[in-house]
Amino acid sequence: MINNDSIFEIRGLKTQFFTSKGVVPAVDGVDITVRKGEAVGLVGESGCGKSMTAMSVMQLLKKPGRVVEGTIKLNGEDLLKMNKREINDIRGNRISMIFQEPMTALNPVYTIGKQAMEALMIHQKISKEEAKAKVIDMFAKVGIPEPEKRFSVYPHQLSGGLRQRVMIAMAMICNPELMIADEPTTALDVTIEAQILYLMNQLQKEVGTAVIMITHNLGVVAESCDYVYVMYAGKIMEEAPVKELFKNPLHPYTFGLMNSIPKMTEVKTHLYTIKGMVPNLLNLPQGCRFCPRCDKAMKICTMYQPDLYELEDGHKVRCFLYNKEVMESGK
Amino acid sequence: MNSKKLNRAADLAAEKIAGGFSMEGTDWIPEGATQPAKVEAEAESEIAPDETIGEQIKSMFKHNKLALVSAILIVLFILVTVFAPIVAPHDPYVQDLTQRLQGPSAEHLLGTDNYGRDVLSRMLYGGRVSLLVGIFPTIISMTIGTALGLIAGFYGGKIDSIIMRLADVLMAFPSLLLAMLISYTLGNGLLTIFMALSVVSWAGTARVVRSEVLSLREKEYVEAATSIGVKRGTIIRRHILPNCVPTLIVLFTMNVPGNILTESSLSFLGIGAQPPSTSWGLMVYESKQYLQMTPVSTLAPGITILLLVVAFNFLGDALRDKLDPSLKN
Amino acid sequence: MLKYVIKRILISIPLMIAVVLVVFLMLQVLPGNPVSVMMGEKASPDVIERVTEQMGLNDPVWERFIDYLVNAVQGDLGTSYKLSRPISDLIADSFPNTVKLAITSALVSWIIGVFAGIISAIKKDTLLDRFLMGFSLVGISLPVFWGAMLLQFIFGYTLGWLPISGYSTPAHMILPAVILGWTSSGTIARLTRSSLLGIMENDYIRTARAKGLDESLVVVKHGLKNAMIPVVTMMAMQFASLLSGAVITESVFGIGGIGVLMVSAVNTRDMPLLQGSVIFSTMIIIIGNLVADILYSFLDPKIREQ
Repeated sequence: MINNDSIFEIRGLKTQFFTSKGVVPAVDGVDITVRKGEAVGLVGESGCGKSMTAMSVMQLLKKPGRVVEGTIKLNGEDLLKMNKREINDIRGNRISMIFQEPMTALNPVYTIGKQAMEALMIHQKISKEEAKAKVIDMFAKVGIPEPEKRFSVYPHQLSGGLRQRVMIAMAMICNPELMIADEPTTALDVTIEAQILYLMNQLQKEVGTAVIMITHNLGVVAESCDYVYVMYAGKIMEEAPVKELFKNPLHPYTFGLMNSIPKMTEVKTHLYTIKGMVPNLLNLPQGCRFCPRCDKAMKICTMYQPDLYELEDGHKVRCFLYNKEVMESGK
Repeated sequence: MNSKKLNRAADLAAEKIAGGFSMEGTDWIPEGATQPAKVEAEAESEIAPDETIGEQIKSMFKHNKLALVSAILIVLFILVTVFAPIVAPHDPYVQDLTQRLQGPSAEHLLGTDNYGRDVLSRMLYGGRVSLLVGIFPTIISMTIGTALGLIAGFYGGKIDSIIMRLADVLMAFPSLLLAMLISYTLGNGLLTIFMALSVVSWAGTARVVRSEVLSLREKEYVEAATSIGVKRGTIIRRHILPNCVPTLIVLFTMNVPGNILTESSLSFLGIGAQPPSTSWGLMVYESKQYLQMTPVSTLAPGITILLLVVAFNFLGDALRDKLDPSLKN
Repeated sequence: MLKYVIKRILISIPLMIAVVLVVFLMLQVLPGNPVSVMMGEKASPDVIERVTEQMGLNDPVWERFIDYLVNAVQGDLGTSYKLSRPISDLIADSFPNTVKLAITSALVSWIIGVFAGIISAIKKDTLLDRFLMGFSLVGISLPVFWGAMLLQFIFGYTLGWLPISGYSTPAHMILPAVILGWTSSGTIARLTRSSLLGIMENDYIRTARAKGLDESLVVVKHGLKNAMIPVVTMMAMQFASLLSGAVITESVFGIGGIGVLMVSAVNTRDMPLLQGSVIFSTMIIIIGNLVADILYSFLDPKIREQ
């Protein structure tokens, strides 16, 4: 692994929710590395902790959630050791975020121009006129037609797709080093989804911003990412470059995820589904977290948690099937 | 109380994370696939809607001591006023001019008034008026309001607009003004207050019930019942009314204190209870010029109104938060 | 927007007519001859008959109503039976006092209410929050006449700092404004708090935080502007109800406003005066609600930009 050009590293991140029913380990020891200009996918079912990972990075966790362990380093500076002011300097400036719901993520009482200017005005010392010019420029870049006119339009007057373009413009306005996109296309039509993903890819290449794409949709990952992490019940189950993962999925969970996508080329009477459901994080299995749903589960899987084993080609997987010792000892 | 609420909300948020949902794309999981919703049912039982109202109220009292204290206070008020003839140390109407304007003593715990009558005993009897006027007109007006709201919401069309325009007209009158108008024709007295508070103030309830019905009418089970030809009356009785009950309980608790205040204000103005009968508002009026001589007997009725109204408001808030948070604004 | 405003105004007109009709019917058609009610039981039938004729009460009800309505639109609400003065003059005399009280108490109410609400929301679940919300609830629950009496006793009678009753100087307005303002502030404070708390749960608040805005800016710029929309509407409605006459406060403090005018009309059985002043009051409330509605649509871009 080339580590010297990594700009963003999450190491051993643990985020927990302290509820009256017990501690919920929403993110349980996650490592993620993002290199400059790279698009990294974070895939998993909802509730697997992928959004909570993003919230931990942005420090937008709501009570009673709290990061309890780990480091989140942007170019070597640990975000978790920063005070509020320093975090505010990072947010929206060096790390920006796009949310799932474009319909509600914009403030209804301000024009979109004003909202897009806001980040510029606080992070860069420029005049209002300059900021406005920059925003109109960015609106044009993200494909908002008639950007000057749209500058003074309210969110409700725009379609969902346009609003998400506004969100992207807002996120990109300060040329951040990293942009976290949390299900940016889930709420959109399929055709618009493709447009938005294309737009994000282009901007990313043009500006050199790295992206963490959080999604439940492997299709989105295939289209827009270079590297992918598969997350399940708070842990990374498998990670690999996108092509490698699609060519050679190793973890039974990844396998299941891929098989449950309907394919145009096949005629099936039934879609494959992963049996069972996502475990309750308050009551996790003792062994591998995927074990109760795994059709390849062995005895050891019910007793011990596997580590993330690195295979020769940089492919990593959290499964005993790929541990030689375990396999040779005969389950 | 609020920290408890926060915790519950937070628990819910966390359970959403912990309990786990299915893939977002459940829509392409074919039939026979597991339905994940049931897993959470257990975890979320604290806020699950299938708890009966009784259970919800019980759990509210368990978590919210303020509401419990308020409820106890209200029950206590009701008991002592209902049993006033037994509880009261003196006859509230017997005047003893030798005992005028006495301060508190063992004989007269809250002193005596201008006619030498025992203030505590008069308060116990006066409380009957306050509670009676607080509770019964509320029941009557809410019954009317519920009926009209159900009809307006369920039948819609012309009936709906007639009822709702009528409600608009009545909403333009503050209850004090209405009472003054009615008192002109009916004369002063409790009947006037009863009329003003019961016949005319149904509009608020009707509005809330109507909007409740409108949203319930869209629910699948109501549509299903309609489609299989269940009679309208039965649908209202079986499906709509029971779902309005929590809202009605909350509205009731929130309307009573308003009516108690209106009654006391009207009696203070001389429009309500007439001497020698009494109510707390009238007692304040009668004794106000003796405030510096007998502060205790003058202040007591006012404090009692305040206490009772505060108790109802606390209870109403708690019930609303538990049963129908949508009523907040 | 303009279309909405015009539509809203047009809807209010039949409402106003209906309200006038209700007042009219309640006073003139309910059981008993209004004149005999007005003159008391001792009046002789002859006199009653003559006055009835004089006041045109023998005409059919709807005719009288139309007459009254036409006159009222022109500002003629009839003549007071007891004071022998045009009712419009009496209202014109007392309304300024009601306005004075309404403005001062609205200021007290809004300042206390909005600040208490914001602080409570920001400091949610702290002791301060509980104290402020308790203070508001007591305000809502306080019998105004009793609170007023207490203030008179403490600040007027005992301490001698402020005048007890009357309305000639600004100092006279302090006690009434404080008590009326306090009792009205509770509603504003509770609404501000719950509105702001609700708004702070929105996605766009998270967006604002993600932009790197300081938390205080997030609350003020993104939270408050949205949260105040229903609060301002409530303020308009409250102001209207204060303008329609604070019956109790005016009576306790001897402020000669619309409220006192109505009470004296009841006490002297002056039917035309009661009718006129109540109609005036309800018109103010309807207009106030109209203004509140329009204000709401103006503050909410979703409605404004249509």
